[in-house]
Amino acid sequence: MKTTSKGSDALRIRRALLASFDEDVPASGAKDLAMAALGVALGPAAASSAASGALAQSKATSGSAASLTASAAPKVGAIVALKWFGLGLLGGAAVMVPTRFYDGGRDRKEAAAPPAVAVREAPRPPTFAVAASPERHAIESEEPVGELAPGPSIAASSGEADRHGPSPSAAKTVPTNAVREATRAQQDDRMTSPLVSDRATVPTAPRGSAPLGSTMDPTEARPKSSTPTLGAEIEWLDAARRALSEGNAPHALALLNRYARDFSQGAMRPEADVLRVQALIQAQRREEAARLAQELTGTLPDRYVEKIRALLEQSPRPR
Amino acid sequence: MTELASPIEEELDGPEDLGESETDDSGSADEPAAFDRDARSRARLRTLIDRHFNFVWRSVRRLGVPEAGVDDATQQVFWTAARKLDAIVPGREKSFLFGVAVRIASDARRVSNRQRRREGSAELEIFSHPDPLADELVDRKRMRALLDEFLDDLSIEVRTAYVLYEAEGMTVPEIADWIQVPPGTVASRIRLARKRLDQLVERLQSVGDRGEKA
Repeated sequence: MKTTSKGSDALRIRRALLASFDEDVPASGAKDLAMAALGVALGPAAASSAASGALAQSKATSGSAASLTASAAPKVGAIVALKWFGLGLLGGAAVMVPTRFYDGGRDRKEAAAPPAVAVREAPRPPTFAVAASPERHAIESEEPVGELAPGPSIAASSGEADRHGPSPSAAKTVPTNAVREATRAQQDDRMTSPLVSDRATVPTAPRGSAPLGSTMDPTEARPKSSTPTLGAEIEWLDAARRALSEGNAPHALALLNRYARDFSQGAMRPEADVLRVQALIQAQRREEAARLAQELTGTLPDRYVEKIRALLEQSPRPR
Repeated sequence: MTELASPIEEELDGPEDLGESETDDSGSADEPAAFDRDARSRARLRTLIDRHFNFVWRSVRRLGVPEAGVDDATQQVFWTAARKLDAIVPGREKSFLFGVAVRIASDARRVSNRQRRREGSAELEIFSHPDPLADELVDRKRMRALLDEFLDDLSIEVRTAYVLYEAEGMTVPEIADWIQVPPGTVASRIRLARKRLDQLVERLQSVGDRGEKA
């Protein structure tokens, strides 16, 4: 029995890992911008209108960016070369001014943001499918199984076949713009290696110490940064999680309330919702937990809903 | 499949350095086709971008270009394609673009790896996270970062095969055709990657178990 649950855990982890491939979606204006940069947008008007929303918004009026959209077709070589040069400059600038870069968006003017960065500002419609599921499934089933490791590995493979199944589109309904924004906020120090900084951000969050120590008054605790960054969000949720593992559900709830207030469009809202259900259960407020679970069903991706359901099932019903 | 030139080899073997070319191109009068293209080739390039932008974008990302550089690397891929439009065999556009993406991602990876070495190894720091991993499972961003870590430890050849297979859902023969290596080699690369992923999952699980016991 133990092995089965271990096996299903492994499958769950594997699925979660592979499902995170779905995060790889370009910003909505990126394609138009590429077309403009390569001089094949539908005329200068289209080129500028395609990019202007984002560009005007962030006022990325560095020489390279402005010339890029204004006269896309001719002298593309010069423009592209200029752009790469501008990007180099930006790389340096963005690393030096990590928070200002995000703050308010206006400061970006000084940071000479290149169009590529500017377009990331544009809201991203959740319409891109990373790997079209039907096609994927067809390919999976056609897969020449014999060529790959027969046995456990294949078993895992067939188990994974539905990893796009639980609703990739639903997964996209989590606040993707917020994800992007939060990620962008970190981009300054991720210019060269986001992975390193991700690792650095997440585990180095102060554990059991200020500002998020479990003994601290949650009303005083606040994220280190006033801008909503993913790192800060994770800190809050980690603190709540810690409070829960220490059996301090009220504190966890206080932290989660504060998280909900400060990160109303947070990228980690689904995680926070799961934690809230868990905290309510732990605080002997099962009915509230069940009510919340009901409200959340339909708004959260399936795997969160499943997690919440499992939490409720594990908790004893009040008599 | 062998009669078709491998886009990857073509790109990898090409003597030109993209960075150099860019600066050289800026005002050169004898610049070939790319910037002097007629309406038809412009239309073709446009179609290429329109149809394959998302694919190229996610490919360069998955092949190791740091997130902040993905938009630019993607443009670079199409820029290279623009210069070689005539060499792209109709029907093989996607694999051609992927070949270019592999080359550009390899360059980006080298830079990124150097940076990582400079910053010191924070290798698998996430494994020391004291909280139960079960809860971490819902953390998409962390999962993506872990996946990146896993992918970064693969060679570009193994990574290429694995990404096409696991993320793009291609079959082994298709991949073999794209990257011009025997299917057996592709299969063994995928096997290797999967074995590594199993090891990663095992480690994640053991952290989760420790967390639960604590």
